Amino acid sequence: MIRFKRTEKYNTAFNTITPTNSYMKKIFLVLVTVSLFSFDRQHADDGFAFTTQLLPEKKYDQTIEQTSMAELTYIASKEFLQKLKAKGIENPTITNTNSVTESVVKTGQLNSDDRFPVTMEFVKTTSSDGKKTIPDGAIVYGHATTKTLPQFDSIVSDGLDAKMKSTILKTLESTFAQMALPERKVKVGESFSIKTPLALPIAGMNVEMDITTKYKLISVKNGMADFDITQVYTMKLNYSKYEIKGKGTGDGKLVYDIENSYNKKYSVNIDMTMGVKLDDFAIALKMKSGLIQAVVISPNKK
Amino acid sequence: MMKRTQHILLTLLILATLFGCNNIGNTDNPMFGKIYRNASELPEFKGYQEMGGSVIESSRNTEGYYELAFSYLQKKDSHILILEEILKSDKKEEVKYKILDTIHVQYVKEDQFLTFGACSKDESFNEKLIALVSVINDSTGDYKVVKAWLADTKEGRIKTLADTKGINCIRNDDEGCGVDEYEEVVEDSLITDTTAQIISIDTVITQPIDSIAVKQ
Repeated sequence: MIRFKRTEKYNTAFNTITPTNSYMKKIFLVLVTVSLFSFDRQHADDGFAFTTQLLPEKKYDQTIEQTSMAELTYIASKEFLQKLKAKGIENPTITNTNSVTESVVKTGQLNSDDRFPVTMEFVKTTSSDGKKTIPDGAIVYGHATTKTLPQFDSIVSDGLDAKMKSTILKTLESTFAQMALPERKVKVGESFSIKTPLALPIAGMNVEMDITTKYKLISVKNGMADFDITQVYTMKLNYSKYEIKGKGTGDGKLVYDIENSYNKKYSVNIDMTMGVKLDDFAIALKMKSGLIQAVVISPNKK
Repeated sequence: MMKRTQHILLTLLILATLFGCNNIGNTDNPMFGKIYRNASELPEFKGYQEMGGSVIESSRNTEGYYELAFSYLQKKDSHILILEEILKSDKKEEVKYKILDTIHVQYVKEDQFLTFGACSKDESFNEKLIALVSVINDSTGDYKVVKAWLADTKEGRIKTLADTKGINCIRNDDEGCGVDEYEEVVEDSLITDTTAQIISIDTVITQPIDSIAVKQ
């Protein structure tokens, strides 16, 4: 349980912007990692198997463009709001950000244990606010198998302290651990849903979220599978005193390259609302975000 | 008595509406009405590989489900395009397909293929256009239209277009639907002769497709 002194509450209110944005960034990170890994292609008469996995000895060059508009509204007494105003904080606070992140995932040779090493390097991030959640050059190390998603165990970066490194690894680990997808054959005109529960450690709290993603196969042409994506976000905070409620929806497209067994392009637009109720005030957040991800896969030459 | 008659009439009307809506398709086509999940289930399509398919966007109903689709089959130089009704079969959301009509093209050259959902007529995109195209440059999506058809989704039939002038087809694998790209393609259609043999919908398929005599 976290207790706040009176003065700290204000700081918390101000700082809530940061963890909330951080939270959203981690949602994007989840989306990034979820969408990064290719769908296992089984070109057969009975449809496509839609599972996620990395392949050994591959290089995944990925570019992600993110945009977001957040409107944060404080709901409190006049006195509280006046104090906010005195500190120069507008109510509501509207923030527009955009960023482009380039990363490279490299996979190594398959060994006798059916495992292969995985590295994920965050090459470059350019953002409108100049902030970088993960510093350029940070490399995450892990392993994967041909049947299981990667597990990351270490991160190398000069710009991250031990706590942040631990947070990133836990986030990645939690994400991948909960990504066991049921293998399912898909035909044109058919859809299926995947629910991915996530536990994200943020600002000392464990935020739990469910993303229900519905994929509908629209077409298979010229070696490309075209999916419509709809998402429903539900959030719940495992927190004893303060309550966070949130929900959201998303829609987008996935173009999957059958011949190369990877998702060529993934785009999604998300509308989310969150509400945080503390002792003396509440925060309402409306957020519109967009993500476009493109991946190019090539052999990982040594 | 009056009320009973009204009920009967109302019931008949509802039944007629329910079943009448789905009663589309080319009943002259012997493949009409055949239901499958995988094309290879049907003996007539034995040995054919499913090359792809696409829902017909405009067939989306008020519940968000697509009702019609195209399927594209190929075995060597024999190509088949199916206009089909999408049938929801069970709670798993698995679908089956009911054949409404087919076109069958044999002796298709290596640089030719059937394309659908990627053609425009007089610069206006029409997802119901189907074309046999010859590839001029595959990377740029430069194609010649050899023959064209139009899926009549109200009748559930595929109709041959006598005139292919103004029809352009492009490669559209980048965005999945590529509707925006059509506006960028402003070219005169090129019509060329082909040795590919089209078996029209009038051809009565009474035997496995492979054994159909091809008109030269």
